[in-house]
Amino acid sequence: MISSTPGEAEDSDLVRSAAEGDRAAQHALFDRHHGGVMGYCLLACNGDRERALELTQETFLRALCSLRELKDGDRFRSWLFSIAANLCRSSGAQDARRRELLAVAQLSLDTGPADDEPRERELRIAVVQRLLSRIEDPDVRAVVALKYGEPEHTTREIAARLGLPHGTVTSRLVRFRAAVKRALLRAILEEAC
Amino acid sequence: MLRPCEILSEGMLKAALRGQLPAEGRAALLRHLGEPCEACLDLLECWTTEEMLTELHASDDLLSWAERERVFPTASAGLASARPPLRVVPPETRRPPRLAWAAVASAAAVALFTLVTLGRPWHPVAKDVLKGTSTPAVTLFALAGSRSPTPHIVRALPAGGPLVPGELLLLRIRLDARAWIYLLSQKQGELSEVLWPLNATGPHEPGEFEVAESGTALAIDPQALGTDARLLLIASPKRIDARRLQIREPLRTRSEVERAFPGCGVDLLPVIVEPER
Repeated sequence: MISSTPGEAEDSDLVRSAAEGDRAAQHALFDRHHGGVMGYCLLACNGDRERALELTQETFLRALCSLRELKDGDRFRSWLFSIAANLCRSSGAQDARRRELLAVAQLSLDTGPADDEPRERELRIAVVQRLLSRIEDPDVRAVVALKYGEPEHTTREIAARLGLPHGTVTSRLVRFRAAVKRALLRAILEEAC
Repeated sequence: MLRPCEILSEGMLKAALRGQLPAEGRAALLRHLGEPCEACLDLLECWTTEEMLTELHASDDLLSWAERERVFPTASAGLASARPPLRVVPPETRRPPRLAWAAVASAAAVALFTLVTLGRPWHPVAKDVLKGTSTPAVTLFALAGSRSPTPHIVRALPAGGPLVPGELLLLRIRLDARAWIYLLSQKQGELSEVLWPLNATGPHEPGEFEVAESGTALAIDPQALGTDARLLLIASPKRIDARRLQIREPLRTRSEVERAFPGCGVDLLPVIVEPER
Protein backbone atom coordinates (compact mmCIF):
# COMPACT_ATOMS: atom_id res chain seq x y z
CA MET A 1 0.00 0.00 0.00
CA ILE A 2 1.18 3.43 -0.77
CA SER A 3 -0.40 5.71 1.72
CA SER A 4 1.52 6.43 4.86
CA THR A 5 0.31 5.07 8.17
CA PRO A 6 0.77 6.54 11.63
CA GLY A 7 4.40 6.26 12.62
CA GLU A 8 5.62 6.40 9.04
CA ALA A 9 7.53 9.47 7.97
CA GLU A 10 5.72 11.88 5.69
CA ASP A 11 7.06 12.35 2.19
CA SER A 12 8.04 15.90 3.05
CA ASP A 13 10.28 14.71 5.90
CA LEU A 14 11.85 12.07 3.71
CA VAL A 15 12.39 14.55 0.91
CA ARG A 16 14.19 16.92 3.24
CA SER A 17 16.49 14.19 4.55
CA ALA A 18 17.00 12.63 1.13
CA ALA A 19 18.03 15.95 -0.36
CA GLU A 20 20.68 16.23 2.32
CA GLY A 21 22.10 12.88 1.28
CA ASP A 22 20.31 10.57 3.71
CA ARG A 23 20.40 7.31 1.80
CA ALA A 24 17.83 5.62 4.02
CA ALA A 25 15.37 8.42 3.26
CA GLN A 26 16.08 8.10 -0.46
CA HIS A 27 15.45 4.40 -0.22
CA ALA A 28 12.23 4.95 1.70
CA LEU A 29 10.93 7.29 -0.99
CA PHE A 30 11.87 4.78 -3.64
CA ASP A 31 10.25 1.89 -1.74
CA ARG A 32 7.09 3.89 -1.17
CA HIS A 33 6.55 4.96 -4.77
CA HIS A 34 8.26 2.55 -7.15
CA GLY A 35 5.15 0.36 -7.46
CA GLY A 36 2.91 3.21 -8.48
CA VAL A 37 5.48 4.66 -10.88
CA MET A 38 6.10 1.29 -12.50
CA GLY A 39 2.34 0.76 -12.71
CA TYR A 40 1.91 4.12 -14.41
CA CYS A 41 4.77 3.43 -16.83
CA LEU A 42 3.30 0.02 -17.67
CA LEU A 43 -0.01 1.71 -18.38
CA ALA A 44 1.71 4.30 -20.58
CA CYS A 45 3.75 1.67 -22.43
CA ASN A 46 0.82 -0.65 -22.97
CA GLY A 47 2.43 -3.33 -20.83
CA ASP A 48 5.90 -3.22 -22.42
CA ARG A 49 7.74 -4.22 -19.28
CA GLU A 50 11.30 -3.53 -20.38
CA ARG A 51 10.41 -0.05 -21.47
CA ALA A 52 8.42 0.60 -18.33
CA LEU A 53 11.38 -0.52 -16.24
CA GLU A 54 13.69 1.89 -18.04
CA LEU A 55 11.23 4.72 -17.61
CA THR A 56 10.81 3.94 -13.93
CA GLN A 57 14.55 4.05 -13.43
CA GLU A 58 14.80 7.31 -15.33
CA THR A 59 11.96 8.78 -13.32
CA PHE A 60 13.69 8.11 -10.01
CA LEU A 61 17.07 9.12 -11.35
CA ARG A 62 15.73 12.47 -12.42
CA ALA A 63 13.66 12.92 -9.29
CA LEU A 64 16.44 12.09 -6.83
CA CYS A 65 18.90 14.24 -8.71
CA SER A 66 16.55 17.19 -8.60
CA LEU A 67 15.26 16.81 -5.06
CA ARG A 68 16.90 20.01 -3.93
CA GLU A 69 14.85 21.90 -6.51
CA LEU A 70 11.57 20.66 -5.06
CA LYS A 71 10.33 23.53 -2.94
CA ASP A 72 7.38 21.78 -1.31
CA GLY A 73 8.15 18.27 -0.11
CA ASP A 74 4.44 17.58 0.31
CA ARG A 75 4.18 17.75 -3.46
CA PHE A 76 6.77 15.01 -3.98
CA ARG A 77 4.28 12.40 -5.10
CA SER A 78 2.57 14.47 -7.78
CA TRP A 79 5.93 15.92 -8.81
CA LEU A 80 7.34 12.41 -9.19
CA PHE A 81 4.43 11.34 -11.35
CA SER A 82 4.79 14.50 -13.42
CA ILE A 83 8.32 13.41 -14.21
CA ALA A 84 7.11 9.92 -15.09
CA ALA A 85 4.34 11.33 -17.26
CA ASN A 86 6.71 13.64 -19.13
CA LEU A 87 9.19 10.84 -19.72
CA CYS A 88 6.47 8.48 -20.91
CA ARG A 89 5.05 11.14 -23.18
CA SER A 90 8.39 11.89 -24.80
CA SER A 91 9.47 8.27 -25.06
CA GLY A 92 7.08 7.29 -27.79
CA ALA A 93 3.92 7.91 -29.69
CA GLN A 94 0.64 7.15 -27.98
CA ASP A 95 -2.66 6.87 -29.75
CA ALA A 96 -5.54 9.17 -28.89
CA ARG A 97 -7.29 6.64 -26.70
CA ARG A 98 -4.21 5.97 -24.59
CA ARG A 99 -3.45 9.68 -24.30
CA GLU A 100 -6.91 10.18 -22.89
CA LEU A 101 -6.50 7.25 -20.53
CA LEU A 102 -3.23 8.73 -19.31
CA ALA A 103 -4.80 12.17 -18.98
CA VAL A 104 -7.40 10.67 -16.64
CA ALA A 105 -4.67 8.84 -14.71
CA GLN A 106 -2.66 12.05 -14.35
CA LEU A 107 -5.70 13.93 -13.14
CA SER A 108 -6.31 11.18 -10.65
CA LEU A 109 -2.71 11.42 -9.49
CA ASP A 110 -3.05 15.20 -9.16
CA THR A 111 -0.33 15.62 -11.73
CA GLY A 112 -0.53 18.56 -14.08
CA PRO A 113 0.24 18.49 -17.78
CA ALA A 114 3.58 19.86 -18.95
CA ASP A 115 3.37 23.60 -19.45
CA ASP A 116 4.87 23.34 -22.90
CA GLU A 117 2.34 20.79 -24.08
CA PRO A 118 -0.80 22.70 -25.09
CA ARG A 119 -2.32 19.55 -26.57
CA GLU A 120 -2.04 17.81 -23.22
CA ARG A 121 -3.53 20.80 -21.46
CA GLU A 122 -6.47 20.88 -23.86
CA LEU A 123 -7.01 17.18 -23.36
CA ARG A 124 -6.99 17.60 -19.60
CA ILE A 125 -9.52 20.43 -19.75
CA ALA A 126 -11.75 18.27 -21.95
CA VAL A 127 -11.50 15.39 -19.48
CA VAL A 128 -12.35 17.65 -16.55
CA GLN A 129 -15.32 19.13 -18.38
CA ARG A 130 -16.64 15.70 -19.25
CA LEU A 131 -16.32 14.58 -15.65
CA LEU A 132 -17.87 17.79 -14.38
CA SER A 133 -20.93 17.21 -16.56
CA ARG A 134 -21.59 14.04 -14.55
CA ILE A 135 -21.24 15.66 -11.14
CA GLU A 136 -24.49 16.87 -9.73
CA ASP A 137 -23.25 18.51 -6.53
CA PRO A 138 -22.91 22.25 -7.34
CA ASP A 139 -20.51 22.78 -4.43
CA VAL A 140 -18.07 20.24 -5.82
CA ARG A 141 -18.50 21.64 -9.33
CA ALA A 142 -17.62 25.16 -8.16
CA VAL A 143 -14.41 24.01 -6.51
CA VAL A 144 -13.36 21.83 -9.44
CA ALA A 145 -14.06 24.55 -11.98
CA LEU A 146 -11.63 26.85 -10.19
CA LYS A 147 -9.06 24.16 -9.48
CA TYR A 148 -8.75 22.96 -13.07
CA GLY A 149 -9.95 25.98 -15.00
CA GLU A 150 -7.92 28.62 -16.78
CA PRO A 151 -6.09 29.83 -14.83
CA GLU A 152 -5.78 27.03 -12.33
CA HIS A 153 -6.17 28.01 -8.68
CA THR A 154 -4.54 26.62 -5.57
CA THR A 155 -6.76 25.22 -2.87
CA ARG A 156 -6.02 28.22 -0.67
CA GLU A 157 -7.00 30.61 -3.46
CA ILE A 158 -10.22 28.68 -3.99
CA ALA A 159 -10.99 28.78 -0.29
CA ALA A 160 -10.47 32.53 -0.22
CA ARG A 161 -12.49 33.11 -3.34
CA LEU A 162 -15.45 30.97 -2.33
CA GLY A 163 -15.27 31.92 1.34
CA LEU A 164 -14.87 28.31 2.41
CA PRO A 165 -12.61 26.69 4.98
CA HIS A 166 -9.55 25.18 3.33
CA GLY A 167 -10.52 21.72 4.59
CA THR A 168 -13.87 21.96 2.83
CA VAL A 169 -12.15 22.72 -0.46
CA THR A 170 -9.76 19.79 -0.12
CA SER A 171 -12.54 17.39 0.87
CA ARG A 172 -14.54 18.39 -2.21
CA LEU A 173 -11.48 17.79 -4.34
CA VAL A 174 -11.07 14.38 -2.73
CA ARG A 175 -14.64 13.65 -3.81
CA PHE A 176 -13.89 14.80 -7.33
CA ARG A 177 -10.77 12.66 -7.49
CA ALA A 178 -12.84 9.67 -6.48
CA ALA A 179 -14.96 10.42 -9.52
CA VAL A 180 -11.79 10.63 -11.59
CA LYS A 181 -10.68 7.22 -10.28
CA ARG A 182 -14.07 5.85 -11.26
CA ALA A 183 -13.55 7.26 -14.75
CA LEU A 184 -10.09 5.72 -14.80
CA LEU A 185 -11.52 2.32 -13.91
CA ARG A 186 -14.05 2.66 -16.67
CA ALA A 187 -11.39 3.65 -19.21
CA ILE A 188 -9.24 0.69 -18.19
CA LEU A 189 -12.14 -1.71 -18.58
CA GLU A 190 -13.12 -0.24 -21.91
CA GLU A 191 -9.61 -0.60 -23.19
CA ALA A 192 -9.50 -4.21 -22.10
CA CYS A 193 -12.65 -4.98 -24.12
CA MET B 1 -22.26 4.71 8.07
CA LEU B 2 -21.47 4.44 4.39
CA ARG B 3 -23.88 2.54 2.22
CA PRO B 4 -21.88 0.19 0.02
CA CYS B 5 -22.43 0.09 -3.70
CA GLU B 6 -24.37 -2.94 -4.81
CA ILE B 7 -22.23 -3.39 -7.89
CA LEU B 8 -18.73 -2.13 -7.12
CA SER B 9 -17.41 -3.80 -4.00
CA GLU B 10 -13.75 -3.86 -3.02
CA GLY B 11 -13.46 -7.43 -4.27
CA MET B 12 -15.11 -6.46 -7.54
CA LEU B 13 -12.74 -3.54 -7.94
CA LYS B 14 -9.66 -5.74 -7.45
CA ALA B 15 -11.00 -8.38 -9.80
CA ALA B 16 -11.79 -5.74 -12.41
CA LEU B 17 -8.31 -4.24 -12.22
CA ARG B 18 -6.68 -7.64 -12.33
CA GLY B 19 -8.69 -8.59 -15.41
CA GLN B 20 -10.37 -11.44 -13.54
CA LEU B 21 -13.98 -10.50 -14.20
CA PRO B 22 -15.99 -12.69 -16.54
CA ALA B 23 -17.28 -10.95 -19.64
CA GLU B 24 -20.80 -10.48 -18.33
CA GLY B 25 -19.56 -9.14 -14.99
CA ARG B 26 -17.32 -6.69 -16.79
CA ALA B 27 -20.19 -5.56 -19.02
CA ALA B 28 -22.42 -5.04 -16.00
CA LEU B 29 -19.74 -3.05 -14.24
CA LEU B 30 -19.14 -0.93 -17.32
CA ARG B 31 -22.82 -0.13 -17.53
CA HIS B 32 -22.83 0.85 -13.89
CA LEU B 33 -19.78 3.05 -14.26
CA GLY B 34 -21.64 4.98 -16.93
CA GLU B 35 -24.16 6.13 -14.33
CA PRO B 36 -23.68 8.34 -11.26
CA CYS B 37 -23.16 6.47 -7.98
CA GLU B 38 -22.18 8.17 -4.74
CA ALA B 39 -21.52 4.84 -3.03
CA CYS B 40 -18.86 4.05 -5.65
CA LEU B 41 -17.19 7.32 -4.76
CA ASP B 42 -17.23 6.42 -1.08
CA LEU B 43 -15.29 3.27 -1.93
CA LEU B 44 -12.87 4.96 -4.32
CA GLU B 45 -12.07 7.73 -1.86
CA CYS B 46 -10.34 5.01 0.15
CA TRP B 47 -8.19 3.90 -2.76
CA THR B 48 -5.18 5.73 -4.09
CA THR B 49 -4.49 5.79 -7.78
CA GLU B 50 -1.15 4.10 -7.12
CA GLU B 51 -2.97 1.21 -5.49
CA MET B 52 -5.20 0.92 -8.51
CA LEU B 53 -2.19 0.97 -10.82
CA THR B 54 -0.37 -1.72 -8.85
CA GLU B 55 -3.50 -3.90 -8.81
CA LEU B 56 -3.83 -3.37 -12.53
CA HIS B 57 -0.62 -5.18 -13.28
CA ALA B 58 0.36 -8.65 -12.26
CA SER B 59 2.86 -8.67 -9.43
CA ASP B 60 5.35 -10.27 -11.82
CA ASP B 61 5.22 -7.11 -13.91
CA LEU B 62 6.16 -4.84 -11.04
CA LEU B 63 9.72 -4.53 -9.86
CA SER B 64 11.23 -7.67 -8.46
CA TRP B 65 13.49 -7.51 -5.45
CA ALA B 66 16.54 -7.92 -7.69
CA GLU B 67 15.36 -5.15 -9.98
CA ARG B 68 14.80 -2.84 -7.05
CA GLU B 69 18.32 -3.57 -5.89
CA ARG B 70 19.58 -2.64 -9.34
CA VAL B 71 17.37 0.36 -10.02
CA PHE B 72 17.73 2.19 -6.74
CA PRO B 73 21.56 2.48 -6.70
CA THR B 74 21.51 3.75 -10.27
CA ALA B 75 18.74 6.20 -9.57
CA SER B 76 20.31 7.50 -6.40
CA ALA B 77 23.78 7.89 -7.87
CA GLY B 78 23.11 11.54 -8.51
CA LEU B 79 22.92 12.34 -4.84
CA ALA B 80 25.90 10.30 -3.79
CA SER B 81 28.32 12.63 -2.18
CA ALA B 82 31.15 10.13 -1.99
CA ARG B 83 31.53 9.97 -5.76
CA PRO B 84 35.01 10.95 -6.97
CA PRO B 85 35.00 14.55 -8.06
CA LEU B 86 35.27 15.45 -11.68
CA ARG B 87 38.19 17.53 -12.67
CA VAL B 88 39.39 19.18 -15.80
CA VAL B 89 42.30 17.29 -17.19
CA PRO B 90 45.29 19.56 -17.25
CA PRO B 91 46.97 19.83 -20.64
CA GLU B 92 50.12 18.01 -19.64
CA THR B 93 48.20 14.92 -18.60
CA ARG B 94 45.37 15.13 -21.05
CA ARG B 95 45.13 12.19 -23.34
CA PRO B 96 45.00 13.09 -26.98
CA PRO B 97 41.50 12.76 -28.34
CA ARG B 98 41.25 9.66 -30.45
CA LEU B 99 37.77 10.11 -31.71
CA ALA B 100 36.01 13.11 -32.91
CA TRP B 101 34.46 15.63 -30.67
CA ALA B 102 32.12 18.05 -31.91
CA ALA B 103 29.77 20.82 -31.70
CA VAL B 104 26.30 19.88 -30.86
CA ALA B 105 23.67 17.49 -31.63
CA SER B 106 20.44 19.33 -31.78
CA ALA B 107 18.48 19.44 -28.57
CA ALA B 108 15.43 17.76 -29.93
CA ALA B 109 17.28 15.13 -31.88
CA VAL B 110 19.08 13.50 -29.07
CA ALA B 111 16.95 14.27 -26.14
CA LEU B 112 17.91 12.44 -23.02
CA PHE B 113 16.74 12.53 -19.56
CA THR B 114 19.26 12.23 -16.88
CA LEU B 115 20.95 14.67 -14.76
CA VAL B 116 23.22 13.97 -11.95
CA THR B 117 24.64 16.28 -9.39
CA LEU B 118 28.23 15.51 -8.65
CA GLY B 119 30.40 16.44 -5.79
CA ARG B 120 32.74 18.44 -7.87
CA PRO B 121 34.70 21.07 -6.01
CA TRP B 122 34.40 24.71 -6.81
CA HIS B 123 37.23 26.20 -8.78
CA PRO B 124 38.41 29.46 -7.32
CA VAL B 125 38.36 32.23 -9.84
CA ALA B 126 39.98 35.60 -9.96
CA LYS B 127 37.77 38.20 -8.29
CA ASP B 128 37.14 41.79 -9.12
CA VAL B 129 38.61 41.71 -12.54
CA LEU B 130 35.97 44.20 -13.47
CA LYS B 131 35.61 46.99 -10.99
CA GLY B 132 32.24 47.14 -9.35
CA THR B 133 31.24 43.63 -10.31
CA SER B 134 32.08 40.33 -8.73
CA THR B 135 33.07 37.37 -10.79
CA PRO B 136 30.46 34.61 -10.76
CA ALA B 137 31.73 31.14 -9.98
CA VAL B 138 30.59 28.49 -12.38
CA THR B 139 31.19 24.76 -12.66
CA LEU B 140 30.41 22.34 -15.44
CA PHE B 141 29.49 18.74 -14.63
CA ALA B 142 29.75 16.03 -17.26
CA LEU B 143 27.69 12.87 -17.45
CA ALA B 144 27.59 10.04 -19.92
CA GLY B 145 24.33 8.71 -21.28
CA SER B 146 23.50 5.80 -23.49
CA ARG B 147 20.81 5.97 -26.11
CA SER B 148 20.23 2.33 -26.81
CA PRO B 149 17.61 0.92 -26.93
CA THR B 150 16.20 4.10 -25.47
CA PRO B 151 18.27 6.54 -23.46
CA HIS B 152 18.44 5.01 -20.05
CA ILE B 153 21.83 4.67 -18.38
CA VAL B 154 23.83 7.54 -17.06
CA ARG B 155 27.08 7.59 -15.23
CA ALA B 156 29.25 10.37 -13.98
CA LEU B 157 32.41 10.67 -15.98
CA PRO B 158 35.21 9.81 -13.59
CA ALA B 159 37.96 12.32 -13.20
CA GLY B 160 39.32 12.99 -16.67
CA GLY B 161 37.69 9.82 -17.88
CA PRO B 162 36.75 9.15 -21.45
CA LEU B 163 33.39 8.50 -22.97
CA VAL B 164 32.81 5.09 -24.46
CA PRO B 165 32.00 5.10 -28.18
CA GLY B 166 28.29 5.56 -28.63
CA GLU B 167 27.80 7.42 -25.37
CA LEU B 168 26.29 10.86 -25.28
CA LEU B 169 27.44 13.73 -23.14
CA LEU B 170 25.04 15.53 -20.82
CA LEU B 171 25.90 18.58 -18.83
CA ARG B 172 24.89 20.28 -15.67
CA ILE B 173 25.94 23.69 -14.44
CA ARG B 174 26.37 25.16 -10.99
CA LEU B 175 26.31 28.93 -10.78
CA ASP B 176 26.74 31.02 -7.63
CA ALA B 177 25.43 34.35 -8.88
CA ARG B 178 23.11 35.74 -11.51
CA ALA B 179 25.01 35.78 -14.79
CA TRP B 180 24.82 35.42 -18.52
CA ILE B 181 25.80 31.88 -19.39
CA TYR B 182 27.51 30.76 -22.57
CA LEU B 183 28.53 27.21 -23.33
CA LEU B 184 30.97 27.14 -26.21
CA SER B 185 32.75 24.45 -28.13
CA GLN B 186 36.14 24.98 -29.59
CA LYS B 187 38.31 22.79 -31.72
CA GLN B 188 41.66 23.14 -33.37
CA GLY B 189 41.87 25.86 -35.98
CA GLU B 190 38.23 26.86 -35.88
CA LEU B 191 36.27 29.65 -34.28
CA SER B 192 34.57 28.73 -31.03
CA GLU B 193 30.80 28.55 -31.32
CA VAL B 194 27.94 28.83 -28.89
CA LEU B 195 26.33 25.50 -28.11
CA TRP B 196 23.90 26.70 -25.50
CA PRO B 197 21.73 28.56 -24.93
CA LEU B 198 20.72 28.98 -28.53
CA ASN B 199 18.87 32.21 -27.84
CA ALA B 200 19.91 33.77 -24.57
CA THR B 201 17.32 36.30 -23.48
CA GLY B 202 18.69 37.23 -20.10
CA PRO B 203 21.00 36.33 -17.27
CA HIS B 204 20.54 33.00 -15.56
CA GLU B 205 19.54 32.79 -11.94
CA PRO B 206 22.05 31.20 -9.55
CA GLY B 207 21.67 27.55 -8.70
CA GLU B 208 22.30 24.21 -10.23
CA PHE B 209 20.59 23.38 -13.48
CA GLU B 210 20.74 21.16 -16.48
CA VAL B 211 21.81 22.19 -19.92
CA ALA B 212 18.44 21.87 -21.59
CA GLU B 213 16.23 23.44 -24.21
CA SER B 214 12.48 23.65 -23.71
CA GLY B 215 12.69 21.41 -20.70
CA THR B 216 14.54 18.66 -22.55
CA ALA B 217 18.05 17.78 -21.55
CA LEU B 218 20.56 18.54 -24.27
CA ALA B 219 22.82 15.69 -25.25
CA ILE B 220 26.01 16.19 -27.17
CA ASP B 221 26.97 13.51 -29.64
CA PRO B 222 30.77 13.26 -29.62
CA GLN B 223 30.72 11.41 -32.93
CA ALA B 224 29.41 14.55 -34.55
CA LEU B 225 32.23 16.69 -33.19
CA GLY B 226 35.61 17.42 -34.60
CA THR B 227 38.90 16.38 -33.06
CA ASP B 228 40.54 18.00 -30.08
CA ALA B 229 37.41 19.84 -29.04
CA ARG B 230 36.82 21.43 -25.69
CA LEU B 231 33.77 22.80 -23.98
CA LEU B 232 34.13 26.25 -22.49
CA LEU B 233 31.66 27.58 -19.99
CA ILE B 234 31.50 31.32 -19.49
CA ALA B 235 29.47 33.08 -16.78
CA SER B 236 29.48 36.81 -17.33
CA PRO B 237 27.92 39.56 -15.22
CA LYS B 238 27.17 41.34 -18.49
CA ARG B 239 25.94 40.22 -21.86
CA ILE B 240 28.76 39.27 -24.21
CA ASP B 241 28.57 40.24 -27.83
CA ALA B 242 28.32 37.23 -30.14
CA ARG B 243 31.49 38.20 -31.99
CA ARG B 244 33.47 38.18 -28.75
CA LEU B 245 32.45 34.59 -28.24
CA GLN B 246 34.13 33.57 -31.47
CA ILE B 247 37.69 32.81 -30.49
CA ARG B 248 40.14 31.23 -32.88
CA GLU B 249 43.10 31.04 -30.53
CA PRO B 250 43.07 27.61 -28.83
CA LEU B 251 42.07 27.88 -25.18
CA ARG B 252 43.45 24.82 -23.48
CA THR B 253 43.62 25.83 -19.84
CA ARG B 254 41.34 27.62 -17.42
CA SER B 255 43.75 30.50 -17.15
CA GLU B 256 43.71 30.93 -20.93
CA VAL B 257 39.91 31.01 -20.87
CA GLU B 258 39.94 33.49 -18.00
CA ARG B 259 42.29 35.74 -19.91
CA ALA B 260 40.05 35.55 -22.96
CA PHE B 261 37.00 36.46 -20.88
CA PRO B 262 38.15 38.81 -18.13
CA GLY B 263 35.67 39.35 -15.33
CA CYS B 264 33.86 36.12 -16.11
CA GLY B 265 33.62 32.86 -14.24
CA VAL B 266 34.84 30.07 -16.49
CA ASP B 267 35.17 26.33 -16.67
CA LEU B 268 36.76 24.11 -19.25
CA LEU B 269 36.06 20.54 -20.15
CA PRO B 270 38.04 18.60 -22.70
CA VAL B 271 36.27 15.32 -23.31
CA ILE B 272 37.87 12.17 -24.57
CA VAL B 273 36.31 9.23 -26.33
CA GLU B 274 37.78 5.78 -26.02
CA PRO B 275 38.90 4.25 -29.31
CA GLU B 276 36.55 1.71 -30.80
CA ARG B 277 37.71 -1.84 -30.51
